[in-house]
Amino acid sequence: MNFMYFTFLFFAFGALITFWKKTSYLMATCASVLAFITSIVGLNAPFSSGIYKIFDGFELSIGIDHTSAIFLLIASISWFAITLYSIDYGVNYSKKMPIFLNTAFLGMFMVLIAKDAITFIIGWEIATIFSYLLIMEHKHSFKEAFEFLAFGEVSTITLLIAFASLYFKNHSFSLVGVHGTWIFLLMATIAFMTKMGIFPLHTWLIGAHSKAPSNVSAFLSAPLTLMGVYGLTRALSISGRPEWWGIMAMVFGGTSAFWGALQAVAAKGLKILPAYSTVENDGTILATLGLSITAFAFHINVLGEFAMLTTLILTFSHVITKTLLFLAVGHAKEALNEESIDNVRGVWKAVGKIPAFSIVISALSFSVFPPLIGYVAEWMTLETLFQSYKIPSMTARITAAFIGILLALAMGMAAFSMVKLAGYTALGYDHGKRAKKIPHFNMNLAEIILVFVIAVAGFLSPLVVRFFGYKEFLSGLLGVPKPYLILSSHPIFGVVSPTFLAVVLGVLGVFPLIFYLAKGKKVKRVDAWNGGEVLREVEYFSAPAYSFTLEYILRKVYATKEVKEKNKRYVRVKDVVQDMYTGILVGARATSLALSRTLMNGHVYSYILYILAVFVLIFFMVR
Amino acid sequence: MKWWPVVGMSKMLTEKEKYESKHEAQKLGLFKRSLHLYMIDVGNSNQLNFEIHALHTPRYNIHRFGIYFAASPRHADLLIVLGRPTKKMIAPLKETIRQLPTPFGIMLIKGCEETGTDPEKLNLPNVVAVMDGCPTASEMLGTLLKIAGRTD
Repeated sequence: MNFMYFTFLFFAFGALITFWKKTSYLMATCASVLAFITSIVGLNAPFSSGIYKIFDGFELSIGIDHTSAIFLLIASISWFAITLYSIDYGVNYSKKMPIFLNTAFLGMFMVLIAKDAITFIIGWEIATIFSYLLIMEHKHSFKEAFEFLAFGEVSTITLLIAFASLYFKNHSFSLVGVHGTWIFLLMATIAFMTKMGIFPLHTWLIGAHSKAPSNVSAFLSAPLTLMGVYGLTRALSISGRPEWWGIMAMVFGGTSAFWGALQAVAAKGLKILPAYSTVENDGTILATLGLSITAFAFHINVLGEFAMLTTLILTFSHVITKTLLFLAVGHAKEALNEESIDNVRGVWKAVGKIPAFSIVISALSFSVFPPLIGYVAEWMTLETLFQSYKIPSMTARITAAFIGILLALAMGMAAFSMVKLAGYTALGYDHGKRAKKIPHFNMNLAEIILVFVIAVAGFLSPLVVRFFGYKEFLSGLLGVPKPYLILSSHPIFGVVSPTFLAVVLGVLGVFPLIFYLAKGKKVKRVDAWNGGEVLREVEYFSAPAYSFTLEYILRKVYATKEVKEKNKRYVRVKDVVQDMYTGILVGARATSLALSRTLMNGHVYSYILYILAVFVLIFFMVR
Repeated sequence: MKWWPVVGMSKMLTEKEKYESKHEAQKLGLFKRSLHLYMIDVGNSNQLNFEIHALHTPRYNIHRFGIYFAASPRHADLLIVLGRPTKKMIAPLKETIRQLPTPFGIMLIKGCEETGTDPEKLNLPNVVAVMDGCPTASEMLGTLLKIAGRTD
C-alpha cells in the first residue's frame, strides 16, 4: 500500500529535480518499478485507501482493485522502458521535458488508481495537458499538438457530461458501487474512443504520434491509449453490459482495425506507419471487448470471459510491442535524422544491431509470428470471433461474422505493412549513411528488456493468462502438461500452446542451425543487376513501390493521385476521413468570421466590460 | 528405305568437322554437360560480335552441345569478355564479375586491335582461357568445348 504513495512521491520528485535531467528520468524509472510492485501487491490483495472528505458528499479516494492492477502492471512495464530510454534520448531535448514526462506519468497513475470521478478527471486532464506540452517539445509541431489537445478536450468534455449524469443518478462521485445510465455509457464511450483513436476519431493520432519526440510517441501510443481501454472496462463495470453497446463497439472496432491497417500499408512516414498500426490494434481491442459484452448480455459467460481475456492479452501485446517499436524506430530516426521509411535503410549496419533486431521482433509480433505474444493475441481474437455462433441474437451474430472478416483482412494487411517497415528499415539495403554518435547504452537496455518481455510473455502466455486470473482456460491435453495449454472454450473448441510450440521450434531449429553453421554456406550479397552500371538512389525498389500495387488497386479508397512537380513525380494517397475534419474546420472558420463581422464588431475592451458586468450581476443575484 | 537414317544423319553431317583451337583452356570441372555464357563487349571492333553471333547459326548450332547464352550474369557459368577494355568499360566489367555466382570462369577474347587496356593486366579472377588475335567462330567453339570438357 505504501508503494502507491512512494510511486507518487518519486514521480513528483522527478518532476522537481529537472535541472539534473538524467537523475530526473532515473527517478521516473524508479517510480515505474514501484508502480510495478504496487500492481503485483494490488493484484494479490486489492486495497483502497486514502478517503479524503473535502465536504459533504464530496470525497476523494484512491485504491487498487483487480482491474486497475492488471492495467497498472501493463502500463508500468511500458513506463519503465520509456523512462529508461529517455535517460539517453532526453539529452537532445530541453530541461522542461522531464517535468512534463514525470507529470504526465503521474496523471496516468492517478487515472489508474482513482476510485472517484474527480480524481479520475484530474489525472485524465493532467495526462492530456502534459502530453500536449510534450508534443510541443519537438520543433514545428504546433499544429499537430493543438489537434491533439482539441481531441483531448473533446474527450474531457464528454467525460465530464458522463460523470455529471452519474452524479445525478447516484448523488455521489464514487466509481465503486454505483450504477450508470445509458447516457453515462454513451458519453464515456465517446470519450475513451477518442483517446484510443477509433475510426473516425483517429486523425489527431497520426499527426501527434508522428511529430512528437520518439519517447513521447511511444508513451502516447501505448500507455495513453491503454487508459482508454481501462476507462471502457471501468465504465462497463459501472453501467452493466447492454447488448447495443457490444454491437456498436464491434462495428466501430472492426471498421477502425480495417481502416488503420489499410492506411498503415500505404504509409510512407517512419512513424506514421506505427501510428496507423495503433489505430488498427485499438480497433481490434474494442471489437473483442464488444463481443465480450454482447456475450455477457446473453449470459454466455464462457465466451464472454474468454473474449475479455482476449482483450487483456491484446492490450498487453499492443502496449509492450508498440512501445518497443516506437523506441527502436525513434532510435534509428534520431541517429540518422531522417523522416521516411525509405531513407532509414540499413539500420542493422548504420545504427546498431539492437535497434534493428528490436524493429524486427516487434514487427514479427504484430504480423502474428509464433510464438511471440502478438501471435497468441491474434489467435485468441480469431478464436473468439469463431465462437460467436453461440450468440442467439441474429443481429449480433451477423455483426460478429462481418467484423471477423474485417479483422482477418486487417491482420493480413498489418503483416504486409510490418514487412514493409522491418524489411526496409532494419533489413534493407545499406545507404552507406553515417549515423550520428549518440549515447545509447540505456536506449539499448530498454529495447533489450522489451524484446525479452515480448519473447518470454509469448511462450509463457499460459502463465500470463493464469496471472490475469483466468485459470479455467488452462488445461492439459494429449501429453501437454496442465498449465501450458490455452483453451478457447468448454467443451474444447480450439487450443494453442505457445510453450510447446517454442520447445518444438527450438528443437527443430537447433539441428538445422548446427548443420547450417557446420556447412559454412557463403552468401554473396550484391546490388540488383543494372546492366553493369552502379545503382542510383532512385533505382532501388523503394518502400512506396512495395505498396503501390495495393494503392493502385484500391485507388477509390485511398484517393490515389499522381503529383507532378517541376522535376519530381510521386504518388500521393490520403486518409479520406481527414477531409471531413478539414470541411468542419473550414465551416467553423467561415461561421466565426461571419459572426464576428455581423454580431461582434465592437471593441474588445467593451466585451471584457460586458463579461465583468455579467459576472458581478450573477454574483449579486446568487447571493 | 534410304540408307542414311540407319547410320544417323547427325553423325554424318556434324561430326565431319572438328572444332579445334590452338589456345590453351582450363576445364571448368564442376559442370558436367552444359555451359551457360554471358557475353560482355568491352570495346572490340564489332568483328568479334559477328563471330560470336555466328555460333547461333545452323552452321555451328551451339545449343546441341548444351551451351547457351544467359540473359544475365547471375545465371551464367562463364563470362566472355570481348575485346580490350576501354577506360569507361572497366567499372561495368568489374561490376559484372561481382554479379557472377561462384564458381565461375572468365574467357578473354582480345581481338586484333591494340586499343584499350590489356585485360590480363586487370588481374581478373578465374581466367580459364585467353584468345589472342582474331579468332574465328570455329576456334571460339573449340575453346568453349575445351572449357566444357567435351573435346574427347
